[in-house]
Amino acid sequence: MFWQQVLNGLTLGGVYALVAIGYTLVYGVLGMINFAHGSIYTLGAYLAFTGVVMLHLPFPLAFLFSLVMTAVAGIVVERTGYYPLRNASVETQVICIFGLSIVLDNTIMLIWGSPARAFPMDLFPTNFEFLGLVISPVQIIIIAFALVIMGLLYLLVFRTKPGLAMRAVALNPEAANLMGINIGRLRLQTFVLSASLAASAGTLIGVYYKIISYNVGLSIVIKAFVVSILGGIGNIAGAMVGGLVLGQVETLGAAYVSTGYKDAFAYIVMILVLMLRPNGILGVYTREKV
Amino acid sequence: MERTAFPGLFRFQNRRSQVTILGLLALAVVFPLVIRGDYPVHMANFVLYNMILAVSLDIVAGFLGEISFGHAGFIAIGAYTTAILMTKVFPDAWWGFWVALPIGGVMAAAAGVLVGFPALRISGQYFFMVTMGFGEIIRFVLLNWHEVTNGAMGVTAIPTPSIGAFVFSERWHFYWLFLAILILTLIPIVFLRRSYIGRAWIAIREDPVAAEAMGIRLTAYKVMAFAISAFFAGIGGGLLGIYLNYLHPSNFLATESILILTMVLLGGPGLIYGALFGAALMTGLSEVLRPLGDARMLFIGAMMMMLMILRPRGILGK
Repeated sequence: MFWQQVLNGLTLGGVYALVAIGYTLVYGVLGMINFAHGSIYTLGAYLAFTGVVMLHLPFPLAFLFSLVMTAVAGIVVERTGYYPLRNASVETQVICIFGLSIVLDNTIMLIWGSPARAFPMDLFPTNFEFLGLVISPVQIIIIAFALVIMGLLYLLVFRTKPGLAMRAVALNPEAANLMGINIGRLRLQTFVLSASLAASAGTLIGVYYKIISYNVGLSIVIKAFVVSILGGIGNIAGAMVGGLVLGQVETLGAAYVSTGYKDAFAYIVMILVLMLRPNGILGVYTREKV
Repeated sequence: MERTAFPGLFRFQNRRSQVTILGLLALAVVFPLVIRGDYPVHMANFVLYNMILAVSLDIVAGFLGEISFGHAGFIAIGAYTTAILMTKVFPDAWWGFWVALPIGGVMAAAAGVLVGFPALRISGQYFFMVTMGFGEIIRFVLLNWHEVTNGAMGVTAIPTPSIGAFVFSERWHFYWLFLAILILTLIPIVFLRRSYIGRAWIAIREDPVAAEAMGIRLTAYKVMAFAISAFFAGIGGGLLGIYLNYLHPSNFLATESILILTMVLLGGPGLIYGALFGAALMTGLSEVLRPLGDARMLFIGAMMMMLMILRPRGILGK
């Protein structure tokens, strides 16, 4: 029973890590919370659903379809929500992006309807037992996918030129600009990457739970935020660790403390971390000064 | 800083604004006598209710400059405390409501103190998330604490308030009750804004480091702002329960906090009359948009974006 919960927590944690890495990338480059991240996550799930159920594509193609379309949506979000206000105060920008996330969530609801939608049950082979654990093939796909993406992102950020540019902009946007980094283009690239990561997480969790609904965006943003601050915001390795921690906290908490509070654990963890260790578990990022 | 103990409440810039305020007040008082019919009075009640909430949020979001996404949490505490005291603790006494309402406000203020302390260490967008988390935790408690809050079933059969034998049975009775409480909310808030406390809040908003150097204790003033803001939000919440006779945790979603915040930002934060104007406009707008059904939120989101792009200081703001 315990190990079963740990496995389920690991799956959830892998997805949270994917969401949080995209989120923390945008925070690093823009210095701002991306409230539209959860909406993109939802959009990704619905696009994959459309690909599988309406266009009758095989799952990998539908997944790819969702990634490409949400990458476009990421560009739209950057151009409509952030670009017009790039010189305004952080509060103004965050409220504007909040408005954009409400618009996106409700557009999704108008297109696909407000009742939850279900993925077909026979999309993947049935569950099997291994060492006394019930394992679903989707769990294996999620954990493997999350690990591969984390590895690739690590290489991207620490071994390539665009990654160097991202880190430079995160440290000091003005100096980076003077060094010849095209910040406008870098922001778009970051949004494309971040949107695809969110969409992949949304799709994977959709096929894992087999059900998707339009109004989960806000709680996903909050969970991504919790994961990011757990690892220290702007820290990619931290987001991976934080994702796995939150996955375990939620699954074990729901199993052994209370199911009704499952979604409240994230908030409690957030408040504790901000009060006790504002630099995150890995603690490299200094906290915001007043 | 000059410490004025009794700032003039009617110290307006000119006679014209005095006349405007008294005129608007007279119009508000006679409104239900002129306009008969349940629907307009019902709408007016919601405008007044939202005005109380928006003005209470203006203390934190406008004066102190700490944008809070968790106002629904304070409203919920006030609403549930009032409703539970009225239904379970003193159900048969006519004075139940008049005792329960201030207790609801005090409970909300206690929660405000709890939220005020993190505001000392956390500010800006981190604080958005903390307040939103606070509001959601309150909602989870309401949903799961079955013994007290009745969980997802909600609190039902909340009695109608009365004064002795007089029972608030008609919608226009509630109108005057809400109007009276709005005025009782506005008077201390206007006083506070004009006293040294209000000026200290503005100083903290403009530059916390300089304010502290001038001898303003950040801790005391920030926590005070949150407690007062939460108190009036709790009072507003108490009114919701007696008006609807029914409370449910889904009355206090994060969306509710955001709608109230939008009212404050729409009118112009920190002006008081901006919050009043924003509350009236948003309540009217969501009523006009009601035929659109679920698409209503789409317009509200688009409006938030347009507002931030075109007039980030609000419609009435400078």
